[in-house]
Formats: sequence, C-alpha cells, structure tokens
Amino acid sequence: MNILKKICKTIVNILLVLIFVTPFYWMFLTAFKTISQTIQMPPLFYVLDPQWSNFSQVFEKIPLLHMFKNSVLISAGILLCQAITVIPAAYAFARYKFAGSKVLFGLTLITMMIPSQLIFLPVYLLLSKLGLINTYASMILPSACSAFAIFMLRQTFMQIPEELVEAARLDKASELKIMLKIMLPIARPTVTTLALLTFISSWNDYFWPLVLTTNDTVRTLPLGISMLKAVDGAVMPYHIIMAGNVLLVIPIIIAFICAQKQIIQAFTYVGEK
Amino acid sequence: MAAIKFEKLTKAYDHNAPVIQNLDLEIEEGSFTVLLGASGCGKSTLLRIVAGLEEKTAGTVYIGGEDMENVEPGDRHISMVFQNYALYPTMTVYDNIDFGLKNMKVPVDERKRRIADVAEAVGLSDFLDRKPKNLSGGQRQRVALARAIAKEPQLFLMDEPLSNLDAKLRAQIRTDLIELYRKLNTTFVYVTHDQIEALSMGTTIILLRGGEVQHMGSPTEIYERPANIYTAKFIGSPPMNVFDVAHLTSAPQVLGAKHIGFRPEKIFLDKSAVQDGDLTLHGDILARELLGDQILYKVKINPVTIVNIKTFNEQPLDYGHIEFYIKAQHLSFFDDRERRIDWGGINEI
Repeated sequence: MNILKKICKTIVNILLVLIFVTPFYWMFLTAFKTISQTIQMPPLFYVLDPQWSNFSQVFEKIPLLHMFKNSVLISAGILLCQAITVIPAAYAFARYKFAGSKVLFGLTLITMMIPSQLIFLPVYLLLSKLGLINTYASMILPSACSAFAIFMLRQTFMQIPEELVEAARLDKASELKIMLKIMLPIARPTVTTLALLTFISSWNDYFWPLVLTTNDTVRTLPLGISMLKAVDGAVMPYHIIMAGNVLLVIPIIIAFICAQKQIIQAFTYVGEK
Repeated sequence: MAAIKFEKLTKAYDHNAPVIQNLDLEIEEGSFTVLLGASGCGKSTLLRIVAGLEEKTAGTVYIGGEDMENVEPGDRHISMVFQNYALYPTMTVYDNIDFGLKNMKVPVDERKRRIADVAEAVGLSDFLDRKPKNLSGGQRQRVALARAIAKEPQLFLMDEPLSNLDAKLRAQIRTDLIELYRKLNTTFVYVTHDQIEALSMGTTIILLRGGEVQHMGSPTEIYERPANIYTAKFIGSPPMNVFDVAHLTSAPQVLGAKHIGFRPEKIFLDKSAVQDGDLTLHGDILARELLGDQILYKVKINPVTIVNIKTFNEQPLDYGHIEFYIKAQHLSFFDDRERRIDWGGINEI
C-alpha cells in the first residue's frame, strides 16, 4: 500500500515537473535550431549542431544591449520606488488606527480591481502633458506603488506580535528604527518574494512599455523580442525569437535561484515565540 | 519617596465601562511590589500605563516624583520583561541586549562591559552569538532579564514573566529573581495571577479586583490579616474557610461579625492541645487527598457548610466522623460588608 502510494506520488511529481519544464526546454531547444528545423514535422526533440549564430542575429536585429540596460534601470527603479512607498504604507496600515485608515485601505485594495486597459489612456495623456513620454520616469511612475504588495506586507506586519514593538519602544527606538530594524528583518521572506514578483512582472511587462514609448530610447527587452517577429521571408523566425527569449529569461532565472530559499520561507512563516 | 504614584487614575477601553476608576496608589521606592489578581482585574493595564504603552483616560502618573504626561516609554528609565519575552527574533542574544543600549547612546566600551557583565550574571556568556529560536524557554527568559538589567533602569516592570515556563524552572527563576532584587536594590513591579509567586517574592502585595485595591500589604499581613473576604479567599491553597457565623453555635462572640474565617492549615486534630476559648467543630470527611508531606480533607460540618483541612506529617485519618479545633487567635471575623473586624485575636500569637 505504502509503496503504491509512493509510486503514484512520484508519477504525479514527474508529470508536474514535465508540465513546467517542457516549455523552457522547447524554448532553449528552438533557440539552437535552424529555421528549417523549427518547422520540421515531426518535430526534433534534440539538436546535434547548435546554431549559436541565432544569438548573434538577435544582437544584429535589435539594439539588445541598450534595451537590456533600459530593462535593468526600469525594473530597478520600480523596485526602489515600491520599497519607498509600500513598506511605510503597509507598516502604517498594520500598526496605526487613524481616522479613515479603513477607508484608505479599502481604496488601496479597490485599485487592484481596475484593469490597466481602462487607465492607460488617462495615464498616457497625463504623462504626455508632463512631457515625460520616452523617459525613464514614464516607465517607472505608473508602477511606483503596488496595492497588492501593500496588502501582502500589511498581513505579514500584522502577524508580528505587538510586544516586539512595545519592547522596542521601551528600548528607546524611534518609529523608523522599529520599522527598519525590527519589523522589516522579520518580514524579509515576504519582502523578498514581493521584490521577485515585482521584478518579474516589470521585467516581462509588454503592455505599458508599448503604450508609453514612441521610439527606442527607453524601450525594454520584451518590446525588442516582439520586434524580432518582423518577417524577412515567408516563415516566422522562431529560432531567433526563442534565442531572444532565452536572453530575456536568464536574469529572471538567476534572480529566482537567489531568492528561492526566502520565497519558500515566506509561504511557511508562522512567527516565532 | 514613592517610586510610582497614581492620582485619580482612570482607564477605559474605547467606550466601555472603565477597568480602573479613580485609583490612588503609591508604590514605595526600592520595594518588590506584586500586582496580584484574577484575569481582567486591571493589573496588566496598570503596569502598561506605568510603562507608557497604554494611554490613561484620566488622572496622573508619577515615576520618581515626575509627572509622566507626554513622556515616551523609552524616556521613562524603565525596563520591562514581557510574558512571551518579546526578544527580537532576527537579532542575536548580544544584539538583543545591545539594541536598547545603542538607542540610549551608551558609549561603545560601556556597552561591551555591561553586556559581558550581565551575560555572566545570568549565565548566558556562551550563548551571545545565538538567535532566540536556538535557545530553550529558560534561556530566552534569561535573555529577557539580561536585556532589562543591562539598561540599569530605575524601575523594573515584569508582566507574568514566568507563566510560559514549566513548574521546575519557574521555582528556580523565582529564587533567581529574589537574588536579583536583593543585588540590584531597585524598585520591582511584578504582575501575576499566581499567589505563590506573589507571596514568595513580593515585599508588598497589591491585590486588585475590578480595578480596585482589595488589600495592600506585606505577604505576612495579607496572609494572616486579610482585609476582606475576597482577599481571604484569594490567598492560600486551599483558600480560607469562610462561612456565616450563624451556622456555628460555639463561636466567640465578636461585635458586628457576620462571617467567620480560618485557614485550613491552622486547624489541628490533637485534642490534648485544646485550650479554653479554642473553637471545636466536628463533621464527616467527604474526601481525603494524600499529597506526600500534607493531607487535605474536605469535611461537612452541617448541611450547608464544608470545611477544608490541611495537616502536615500526620497519619491519615480514616473516613468517618472527626472532631477538629482552631486556636482563637487564628480566627478572622468579617462584618456584613465583608470587611475584616479587628478583634485582637491574632495579636496574642
């Protein structure tokens, strides 16, 4: 009975891993194929002569390094802005009862329900009137705060026993010190997870950069990848698109590996007595 | 001078009825004062008001003669030990102790010296690099104490610091605390619902009920001369036997007495020791508990009255009808408002 259970469990696990790994494998595989191999039927599940030239073609077709730099700067800017706005907001919502705190928190949550398709026009108009189109500011400001992150971090802060704050107050710590030295280190798993999620979504974001740019000055990698679709002949250059995608996801994979331990903690954290 | 003084202190949570109303109270400098009471009596609230963690509704609080209005908790020169220790989980033991000192801007050398001294004193020298989660309950308790001591406060506040420990450790830390108090010579204010802790450690006990002081006095006084029936029944295990004087025919006549009381351990069973004026009672044993060094009996002396008896180092009695005696000086009397009547009985000891 036990062995049967183990076997079933292993099979399910293998299936799950396959479901998640296969698209990645396909992407890496295609990035090394020739154009004729990409459309071959039945498809090839391996390549014997990897086409490294696909990657150099990516560099030829789009200003990849420039876009990479844009992506890095914009993602980092968004992370920084969110750290400045989200942490104090979450701390205040978790710790203080002030007039209107519930209403304000409700309003914050409501913003999560507004689809970005609804507000991109007003945001575009606002930024263009401010003369910010095609600047880094226009790419960072719309994501400078996150209701979801405030909500998540507030929940974590609320789980921390009140006595810790009181002990710190008796230890003559200022509010800022309590937030940064006591609360934030305890909430680190949550903060890391939120940072990673924010990084992935801003790194992969296609919609806002598409809407808010009119030239390549501040365009990011996902826009570059879609430019690779420009067809020379009759066939879509899948091998080059996939080579671009590989370059796009490598930073994310690195970030994920670095933060892995913290993320697991964030979902298992139960506080400490 | 009073270490702490409350004047007309009132505390109400939101719009509920006040938990403390118009309380006037002084806690003596250098005393080990225990705030004792059942849960919800306002003892923790009182402590938290002293610490500045709770806003009072009205009245004045003085610490060391100074009005504490608008004085931040960190500026009150107090240390507090919490029930769950409230150690900073991401910091090592060393940093836990150091955090407060750093904020108080104690010079680096002084900080190092104090932490080394205090770690030595509570036996934590080998654990300074550990995080709280890698310590046992007793060790965490010691860190909490070390953190409090290192600040060299003028006032120690402790909010049920032993209630998370097992019985053996509790007894051990109790004696440690007595030693600590004697060594530091500072004012301690200690909140507990445990009368053993109160009687064993306190120099002054304040018994609270519904935010009012029931009795304030030394452990001996509160045990031997309880100010009212509530105190008499709160202190002692089992509590004092108290019942209506009308149920007895042989009791001494005391003017205004409505209730009579005596402690279970003051009852004796040896008839030859009986003297004139001692109270003699008899009844049937309902239950007998053998507890090693002591024996507890539950005796029914009339249809409405049960008496608890506690004897030490004696042969257990068989179930049946027994006679027992109480010395006149061990009797307490209470009036119709349940307050103690001083009739001089105990002075004869």
